[in-house]
Amino acid sequence: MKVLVLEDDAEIGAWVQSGLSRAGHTVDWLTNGKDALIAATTQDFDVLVLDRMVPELDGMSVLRAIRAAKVRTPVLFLSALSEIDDRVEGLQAGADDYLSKPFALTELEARVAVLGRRNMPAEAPEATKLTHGDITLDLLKQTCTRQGQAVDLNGKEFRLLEALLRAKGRVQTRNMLLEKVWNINFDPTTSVVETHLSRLRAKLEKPFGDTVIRTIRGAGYVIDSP
Amino acid sequence: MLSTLLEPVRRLWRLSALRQALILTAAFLIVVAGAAIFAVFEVREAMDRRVDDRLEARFESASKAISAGTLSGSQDSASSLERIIFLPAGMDDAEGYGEEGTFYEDDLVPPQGRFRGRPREPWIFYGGPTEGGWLIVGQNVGEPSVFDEVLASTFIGIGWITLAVALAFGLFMGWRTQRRLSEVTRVLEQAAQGDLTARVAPQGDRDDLDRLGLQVDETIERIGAALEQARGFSANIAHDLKTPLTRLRIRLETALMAEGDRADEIGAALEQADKAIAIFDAFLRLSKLESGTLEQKFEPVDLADLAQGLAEIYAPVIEDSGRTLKSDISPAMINGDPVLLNQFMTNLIQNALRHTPEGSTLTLVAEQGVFGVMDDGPGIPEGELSRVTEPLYRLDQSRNTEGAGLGLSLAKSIATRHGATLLLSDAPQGNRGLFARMVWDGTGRKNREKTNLTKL
Repeated sequence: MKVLVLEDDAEIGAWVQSGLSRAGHTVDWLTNGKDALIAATTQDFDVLVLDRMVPELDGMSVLRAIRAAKVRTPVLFLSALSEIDDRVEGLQAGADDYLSKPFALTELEARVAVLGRRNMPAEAPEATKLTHGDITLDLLKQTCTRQGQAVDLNGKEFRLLEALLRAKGRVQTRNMLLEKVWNINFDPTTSVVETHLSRLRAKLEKPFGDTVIRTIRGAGYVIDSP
Repeated sequence: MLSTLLEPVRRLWRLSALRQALILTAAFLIVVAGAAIFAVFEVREAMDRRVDDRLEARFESASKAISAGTLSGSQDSASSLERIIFLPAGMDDAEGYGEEGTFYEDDLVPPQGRFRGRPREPWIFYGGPTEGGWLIVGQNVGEPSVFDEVLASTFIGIGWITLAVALAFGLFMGWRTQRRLSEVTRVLEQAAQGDLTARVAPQGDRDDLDRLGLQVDETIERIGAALEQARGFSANIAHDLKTPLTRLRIRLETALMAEGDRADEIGAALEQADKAIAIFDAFLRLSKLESGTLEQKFEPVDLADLAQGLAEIYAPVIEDSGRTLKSDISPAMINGDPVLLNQFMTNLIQNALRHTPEGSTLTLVAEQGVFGVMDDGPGIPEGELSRVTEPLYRLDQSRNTEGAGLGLSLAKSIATRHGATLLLSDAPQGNRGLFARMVWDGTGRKNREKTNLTKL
């Protein structure tokens, strides 16, 4: 995918560029709002990543101008301000997603991927079953089996496992899981994810004596591809 | 029941312009009544004086006629509104002269010298010695009650007209003034709620109310400008601090992904970085709330729905921590910011989890006018209640627990933002523990009487 990144900080910009490139995207990295506006309205991008506070023309103005020019490229809005203030404003101005700084690179990559997929032609019909090794998740019946035995998961545990299985091989941060499973975008400060994850583990891993979900301290959780 | 019926009246009475109109009307009516009483006395006295003058004149002319010999006995005027009675000397018994008038009785036997009196309504008599006897002149002044009635009905008429005109005029003027005052009030209320876009915008500079409006507009304008500046500051601070934090985080994250053996250590560093970031975010949030630079995003919210959602999210966390979660929830619609309200409740839950021992019970309370968390933990010592919402203030015993001591400060700001007050008190009904919640007016007052509360 072709991604435009507007970020004035040289170090952050470079890391974002290399991170997204590693994930297989072509990245155009610009450091001021005016250039970004020109680029976004004259070239085709799959996703725009806009930082709010940049020289010349701030990210919010760029976003508004782009939308006013009827450019519908998905926009991921980055902001140093805390989420309670900026989130809504960014989304109202026409952003498709929002990420507050400091962010996890994994999360940025994941969000860019999701936004990019939005503009893709319809994929093959969605699978009704997710499998991973001896684990099968039936999305229609909302059941989970492992080694042929039923694993009795409640709603949140099921969705937690589903989120991890769908992102197989990619690290899911706490924030990403909170949004996907609980649909919340405020900081719950307590160990909501950890609690559910340990319950999920008690049902999914303990009886079988192995580890399916890997915890990466400081980063998040991942189910590794076999 | 009565108070609910009287409430609209009280509300009307609180409108100063209307009250003034009513008071003014009452004052007018008092003046009219005073004028009526004054008029009755004045008119009566003037009429009496006129009658006296006439009687005196009649007396003199009759006296002269008697001297001239043209009048020898009593006579009635044609209208029978006037009588002249002559009592020749020696005839001191009045009974002897009674055939002409029924008014004539013993008590009218003239005393010595001139006299005046009205022994019998509606007659006034004036009399005294004259040549050859006694002369009495009398005049019928009519029924005084008739006269009073005319006067009374006149003034009642005037009273009604005064009432109608004064009230209509007063109410009209009052309504106009009130409307302008209400506009100022509305704008100020909106500003207090954080919406600085409203303006009174008076249509000129005609009077003091217009000037008040202009002043209010100017004040709000200035506050807006100051806030805009503050917003800029906090954005700059956020940007300046978050940039290095973002660099730090990305570096750590990249190192974590690349490094095999020291991953755990790097992960631990990342966790600490995230904690610092979370505290900084909380500070930023608090300063924005406190300074009013946070844009208001209110929408209708059911507190019960919020509490329900939070109960679902936190139930497993609370259970696994060895505590029990209960809910005391009934529908309560308010206008609020759901994100902030969630944050509020989250902070209180967090607080309760930190400061209660295992085995405690947490109760989420959401009902009309109350939104908060009750626990049955050790509570907060009496003297500390008011201090715990100060940013960074922490009880000595909790110094070693996690957190930056911002939770309750944030909760207080969020409560204030919603026009509510954060109340911390002992759990009700003499139970141990802490009951922290935001309350809206009315409910708060009621509760304050019941329990020993600290208003924050």
